[in-house]
Amino acid sequence: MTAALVIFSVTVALLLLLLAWALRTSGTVARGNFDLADLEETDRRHVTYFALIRQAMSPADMEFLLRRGSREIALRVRRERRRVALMYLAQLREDFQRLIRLARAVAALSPAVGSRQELERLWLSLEFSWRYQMIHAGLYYGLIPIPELNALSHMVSQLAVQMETSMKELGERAAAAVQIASSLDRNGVDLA
Amino acid sequence: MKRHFRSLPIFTTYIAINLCQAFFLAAVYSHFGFTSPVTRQLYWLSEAMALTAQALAATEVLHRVLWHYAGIWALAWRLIAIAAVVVIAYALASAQQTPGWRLLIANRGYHLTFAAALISCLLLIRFYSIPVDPVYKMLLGGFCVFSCAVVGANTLLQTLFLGHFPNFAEIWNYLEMVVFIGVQIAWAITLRHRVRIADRPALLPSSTYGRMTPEVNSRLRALNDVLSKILRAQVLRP
Repeated sequence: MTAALVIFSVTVALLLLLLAWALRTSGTVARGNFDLADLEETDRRHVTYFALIRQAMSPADMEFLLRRGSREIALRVRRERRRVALMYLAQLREDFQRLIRLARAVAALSPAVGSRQELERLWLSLEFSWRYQMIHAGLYYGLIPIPELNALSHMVSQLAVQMETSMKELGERAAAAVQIASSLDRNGVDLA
Repeated sequence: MKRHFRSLPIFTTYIAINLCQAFFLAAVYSHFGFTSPVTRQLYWLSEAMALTAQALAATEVLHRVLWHYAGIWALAWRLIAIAAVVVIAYALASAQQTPGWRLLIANRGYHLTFAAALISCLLLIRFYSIPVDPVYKMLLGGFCVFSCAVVGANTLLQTLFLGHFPNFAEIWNYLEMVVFIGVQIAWAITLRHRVRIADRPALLPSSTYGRMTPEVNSRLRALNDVLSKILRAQVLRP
């Protein structure tokens, strides 16, 4: 019976923590708006910088430094490169989160949403988050050697082009749809 | 409360039912005593009515929060249904194991279902960044806190009774009453404020979701693949 008391106490504590977190007002919720226009910004997607990152992590450069320069310089350069890789990774996450925000805004403003698509996106977010933490820790503690990123350069370059165009297009499309919906709404047309 | 009656009629009825239940039980206790089987039956009968009103009142508040967001409201409904099925199945299974405590366990199961479903909906609301008026937040929070307190109190009662703890019934009673009164006071203070009338958001045409969401999801998958390949490259490394 003590086991039941412990289990239910933990469950209740967990529920109360979740409740407090759910009711805490975040910045976005406080504003209470869905900035679709903010998502259609024309900046280059971070993923497009992968070619530069690959260049910065070229093993040939490291070998050259080790051969010609001092070991100390080579280590310093390695540290700097690792820092750049971590920054790149963080920017990749920003790209991901921007897409997530766009998708959430579209879902919130849609008269009908598909639970399958929403669940898929939730699952993708969890997967991304888990992988991101793994790679971040790997790079930070030097468990993942930086040159390994080179193997991905081709695939990422392809993705970069797609991402660049699609983000702009999706953002523009969503913002345009909201604008049309608002003007129809003002004229009393029911879209739902 | 008066000015909220029009916007929250079921919630107002729930408060009225709670007050009526208190007067009704006071009359029952004074007439039949605390330990009479008739008292027990009448208590559970009135409790079933109060619990039904509670579920309806909470659903009404949730509906007020989400009524501009038809898609998310439909999603919230599905979430409530799933949470209800899972926890009710658990409550039925555990109530059958200990027939002597059937009603108390069923009551705990109800409150657990209720709190879990309501918190799931609040998480959904937060996930989609839907603004919630502080008045509604307090009402929904109060429902959850009270249900969590009942779950804790019912479990404690069972533990104390089986451990032959003296005054177990008083502890249970006071614990529930203190939380209940606390929630009622918090609600009374909150309901002195008006609910801000939020601007109705312009909804997108239905086709936008169908066109955009698969595209966004495929972009997210592509970004995930980048990370996956980085990881896989490490795993396969000799």
